[in-house]
Amino acid sequence: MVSGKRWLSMLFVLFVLTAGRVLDPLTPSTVFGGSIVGSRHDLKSDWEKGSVLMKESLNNYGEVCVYCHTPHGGDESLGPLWNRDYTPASFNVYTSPTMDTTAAGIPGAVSLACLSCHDGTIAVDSIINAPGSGPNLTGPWYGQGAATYHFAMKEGANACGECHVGSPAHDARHTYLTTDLSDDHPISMPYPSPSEDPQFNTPPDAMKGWGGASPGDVKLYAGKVECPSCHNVHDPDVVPFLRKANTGSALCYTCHIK
Amino acid sequence: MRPLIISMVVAALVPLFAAAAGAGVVNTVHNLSTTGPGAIKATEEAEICIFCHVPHNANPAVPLWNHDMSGAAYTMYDSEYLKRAGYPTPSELGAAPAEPGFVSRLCLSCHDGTVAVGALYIVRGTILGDSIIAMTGVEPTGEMPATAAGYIGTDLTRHHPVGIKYDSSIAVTFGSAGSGVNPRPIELHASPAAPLKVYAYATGNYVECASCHDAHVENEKFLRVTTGANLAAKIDTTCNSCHSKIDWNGSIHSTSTASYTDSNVLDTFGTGAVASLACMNCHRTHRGGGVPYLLRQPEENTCFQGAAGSAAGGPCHGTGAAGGGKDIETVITRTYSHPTTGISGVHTNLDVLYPEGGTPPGSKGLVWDTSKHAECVDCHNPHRAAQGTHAPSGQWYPSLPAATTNTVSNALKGVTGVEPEWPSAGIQPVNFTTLESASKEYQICLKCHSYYALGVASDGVTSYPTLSDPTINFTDQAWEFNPNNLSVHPVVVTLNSQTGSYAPQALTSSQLSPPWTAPGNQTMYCSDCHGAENETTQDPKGPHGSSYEFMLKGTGRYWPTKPDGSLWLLNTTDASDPDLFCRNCHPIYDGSWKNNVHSQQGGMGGGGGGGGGMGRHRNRPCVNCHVAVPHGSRRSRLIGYASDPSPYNYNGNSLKPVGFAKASGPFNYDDRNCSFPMGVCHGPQTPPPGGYDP
Repeated sequence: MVSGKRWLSMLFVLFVLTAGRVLDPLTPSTVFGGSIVGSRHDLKSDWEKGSVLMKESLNNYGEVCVYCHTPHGGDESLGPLWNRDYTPASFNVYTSPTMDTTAAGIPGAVSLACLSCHDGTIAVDSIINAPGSGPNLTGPWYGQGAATYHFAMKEGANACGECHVGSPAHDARHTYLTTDLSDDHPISMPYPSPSEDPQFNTPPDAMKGWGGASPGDVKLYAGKVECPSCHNVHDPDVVPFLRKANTGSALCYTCHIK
Repeated sequence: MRPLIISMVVAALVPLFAAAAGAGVVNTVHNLSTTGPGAIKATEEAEICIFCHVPHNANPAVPLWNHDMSGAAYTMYDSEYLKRAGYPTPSELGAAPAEPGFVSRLCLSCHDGTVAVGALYIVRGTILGDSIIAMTGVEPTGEMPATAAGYIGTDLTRHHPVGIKYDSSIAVTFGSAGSGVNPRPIELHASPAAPLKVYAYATGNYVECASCHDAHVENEKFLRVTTGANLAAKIDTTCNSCHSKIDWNGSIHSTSTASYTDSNVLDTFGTGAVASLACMNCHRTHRGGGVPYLLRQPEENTCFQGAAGSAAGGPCHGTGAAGGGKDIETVITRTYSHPTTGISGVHTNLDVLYPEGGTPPGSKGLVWDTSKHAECVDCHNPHRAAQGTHAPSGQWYPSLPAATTNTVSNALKGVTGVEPEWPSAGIQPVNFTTLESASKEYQICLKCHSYYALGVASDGVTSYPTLSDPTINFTDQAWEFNPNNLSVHPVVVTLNSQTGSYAPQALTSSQLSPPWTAPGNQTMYCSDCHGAENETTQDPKGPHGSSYEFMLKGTGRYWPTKPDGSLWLLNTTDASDPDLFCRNCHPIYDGSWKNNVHSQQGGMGGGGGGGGGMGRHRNRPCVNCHVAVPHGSRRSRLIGYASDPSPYNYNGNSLKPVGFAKASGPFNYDDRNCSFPMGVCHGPQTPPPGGYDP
């Protein structure tokens, strides 16, 4: 038999453990196993974990998905049920004299979704449709929010890079892709055929790549390489949001014969 | 339809084979992760690509670079050959992606040894900053050790040039001043054959490290060329993908059946055959021992030992070399020789284009004063030389001399030369046409032995002492062999074409020994008289070196003095002496005399008749009448005048005549043909109707 007091204390411990894990950024997968929740792509969690300054830099909409998705009124030209108030900039794309394959294209929709935060042109909380029903013209969303500032992912003052350069906050500069993609792996180009460059493996599915229905391997999108070919935006398990571990450069070797 | 189906099948299989050819960088020393096979590898980092590439925020952006770049200032490859050809050479490797040489600087960010191998930019989303990936096999501070096989360093003078434009259109101009003739192309294919690559920049296509190497390919030396029986074959294909050396195919160095015995050569290249090693016999693409030109060893040492660790390990041209090549080192280090082993760092390719008076500051040419030298490649073109010399094995001279006997032999094929513009007799030739490829042997010799290198020579005599006898000076051989001279040895033209000579131009056949049986219609080599003492037995042919003064060769090797130092005299004893140099070709006395001047030395009170007095020439030194340098003369029959300078005039005081006129035949001489001052010999004479030679 367990006494009533003992029940209470057990419940308390359970509560503390659970709450602790929810809020603990170091062990999100211990409990949630490959979930976006609690990861750096969970902006609600980021806000909650953040410092006072961080809380002044973006709106907390109280939901996880809303920073990217909305069930109604989204911009499908950018991504699935896409909720970001984003007009794509013009990009510099990757070119190289050593490439035998088709050069990088203008970023396509699948990749533009990612770039709607990572190119740093608009604030991370810049969404179309805030939580709640109806037009919701007064809610705490972008431009009218509770936060004093609305920062974008870029270096310099009045942006994430004001703090996230290693000090005082963690260094996030590598995620600031900017609109100059010439220093990033090419995207939105057709996967090379063997005749274009024999140094690429042939995917089992020319349209979908290796992943198919599984999120755990490299995917192609309509036969093209896009940001989510390598990254699984919803799963933080393999840092940094990779589809699979890169030990022995296994991710790279999925495509490249080098 | 069948061919189409087959080609479709082949097309489908090609990528499979391509994918199967080597497992890639994983199995190579470029796998710097913990799983790498080389001595240099990470102690913990398990990713492979990361040491060079990163997918985001790469720096430099192309090719998604993740390794800290080298800021080194490099000492670049350059050569007089490239300068003279006008080939553009870089002063530095580019530091920005748009600048030629940049691709090579990527490789050098490890291989120059100035940046830690583990100095990466980003690893899995973390910017490393000053921290580096822990490695084994590196210097304490992380850099590639200078002892590593792949170490290049910052001195690129010993390495094949990179960051250099690929331009096959450039050619070296030969000819006379202002009129280019017979240009020598830069000997490059129009573009490199695949799989070699050039890299396009705004100013053209450039050669980079990655032109020959693919850092990712599992292949010896990371060569792009993966097909070939062994490393030697792969390198041969690599070199020939760009370089197109004239007449290389068929040359002795590309076809020789000789082999190295040095086991290191076999271990390194997978073969010891000279023909298979090809370029690698003499060159190294990296860390050449001879600068420039990527030679294996400095200058002649390359010829002596080739790819072997010592002369004995190779079939090349050194003392004690294994059979195959001629042992040149032994003869060229004899007392009297062309200055090859004793002079270093003077020869430059195409020095033929920079003669006396024409050398730009900072360049070395042929000017004797500052640039005296004779390297192997001054007289031989190792890319074109083939087997076969002017005289067959075992003989001093060619078998059947003819008008073309002075044409270059296979051993002298493709060597630069000069052809003088011939002035009147007695005037020094000072204008020359440069030749991409000499057609006559003398054109090679005259590069140095004329005004072209020696400068002004008064009456044919320079101010530079000979190596054989420092008391006498070099003479100008173009001055001497001028077809406008009254008498010469027929080195330039046949005597019947010797325009300066009046009839009878040639000697009679009785005045010559075999094989010189076509007087007037034959030419000869300089090296018919100058060469090694044992050319009919073990010595390689040619004037490399000798134990005898002036490298005189043949059965007789002494002139104008005997072995005891005294002058040769006109008498039956001396004229029959096998040591007498002239006797090699001229049977001066073989029981009879061959002209009635020589015969006037008969016994006491008797002897051959003709003219006045009996035996008046007996025991006269040869050099009382003949020039001591018997190349050519402003007078007929190599006669010299008392006014001639030394060394033509032995000791400056030996020549006696002051006037000479050639007779109509060898036995038609009388006193009037030769005039002397009062009291000398038979004194002043009345000249024959034609007068005396000037």
